Amino acid sequence: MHLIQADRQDDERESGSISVITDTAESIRAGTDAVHEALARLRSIDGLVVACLVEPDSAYVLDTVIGDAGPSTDPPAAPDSIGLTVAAGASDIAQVIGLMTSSLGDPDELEDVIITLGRRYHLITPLAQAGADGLLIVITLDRAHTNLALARQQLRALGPLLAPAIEPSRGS
Amino acid sequence: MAPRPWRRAGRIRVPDGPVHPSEAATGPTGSKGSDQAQTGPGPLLELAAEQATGALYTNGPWNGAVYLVRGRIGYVESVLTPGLEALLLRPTYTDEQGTNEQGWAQVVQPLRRGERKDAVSAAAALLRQTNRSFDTEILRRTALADAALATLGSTAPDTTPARVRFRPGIGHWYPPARTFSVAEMLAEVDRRESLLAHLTLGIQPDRVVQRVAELPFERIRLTATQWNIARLADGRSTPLDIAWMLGHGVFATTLAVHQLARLGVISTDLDASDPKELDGSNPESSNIDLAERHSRPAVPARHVLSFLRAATHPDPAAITGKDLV
Repeated sequence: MHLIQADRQDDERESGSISVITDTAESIRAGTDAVHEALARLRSIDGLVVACLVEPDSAYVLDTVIGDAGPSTDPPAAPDSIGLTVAAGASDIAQVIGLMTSSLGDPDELEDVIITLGRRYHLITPLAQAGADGLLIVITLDRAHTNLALARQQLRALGPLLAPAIEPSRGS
Repeated sequence: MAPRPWRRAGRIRVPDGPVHPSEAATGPTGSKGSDQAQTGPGPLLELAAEQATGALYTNGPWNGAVYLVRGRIGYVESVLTPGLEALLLRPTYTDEQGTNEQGWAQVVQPLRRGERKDAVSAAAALLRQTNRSFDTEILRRTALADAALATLGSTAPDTTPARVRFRPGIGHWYPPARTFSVAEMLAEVDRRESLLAHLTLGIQPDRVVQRVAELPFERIRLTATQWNIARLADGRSTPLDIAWMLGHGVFATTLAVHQLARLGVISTDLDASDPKELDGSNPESSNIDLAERHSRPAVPARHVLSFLRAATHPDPAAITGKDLV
């Protein structure tokens, strides 16, 4: 294949890398960030503070979107660190629930987790079909400015869009 | 025998916040392209400050590469962890023609030796046929972070000096739609190292695990991935091996193995596959000499790993002082 140029330099051979000079990669172009675009749809949820896409087994935050109700009203904290903390806590919760349902042997699926605080909701929704081994979407909502039932609906509607091979064409 | 990459205590700590070129220059760096005495973030920070584009190769047994795009990390690869091409190809060896372990093993063997050429060609061909921009990007980030732990973490042994070389203009075969700052990637590596340091029950990426001969309880429910991990935990495989066999990330697989160990499905002690010894209600009874032999603390089986603790209280002692754990 012309785009994959087997590298003949000793360095890359030693490191086992197959590389291309960036400019010569013709067939596979850097597309738009499909992950961020998909998650950004959640900005339409009223009262969104932050939304994170998380790999549940590692609690790795794949992407973060800050909503309109986001950190400006908060004590100053970096938006990313809010996302990291919320994602870590949500992954812990998902793991504990996994331990519980595994031990119960109950063949039922976790649909979502709603955490109700005084001023905020945290909504944890597993997407079993996404990624290599399922993903979590974690959203934080401002209770004064949101409709929880509507937000859950919007989140569920996003699920199929995040399943593999349903994304719109990659352009050119 | 695979190298034991996850064990070295101590690494160069990276200062938080923006890195100034003068600061980066104090690291163990030399002129670009020359051999370095040790891997570490020094050369990487310098290249980031220079907004360099190209590939930083770390040679030696832990070889890998960091692909930089204008000073930001576009991709990281390591010979230890399944890369994007492996994660992309894996489903084609299960979904369409049933489980085809032999076909997959033929893909994995060269990849684990660092020979990526064929797999990259096949993955690139696959991407041209199908349209998977969302999940490809998910897999790309998964593979990137997984390789970052092996390539940028405390991986290189002090006794085996690795050479670090930078080749400007080299890009990864799958151009990145999003790049990551060096600081955020190193923070993620630290988080992962902290979590590995807190793993209980003797679970480590390079430690052999085995499913128990008999479950010590009446019923249990596993996800498909959990079942596949338990199936492959045959007393000869480590979580690292299992990750490759499944085509999943090494770090995520290791934590999933830990979860299974907490459930009592998997154990690290080959001699302890007798379910009596795995009874979580009595962890210290018959296991004491085994525990001492492996110098691990006898911990309650219900000990729950906390991502939150690792995210909010990064504990330097956990990273640099595994011996204390």
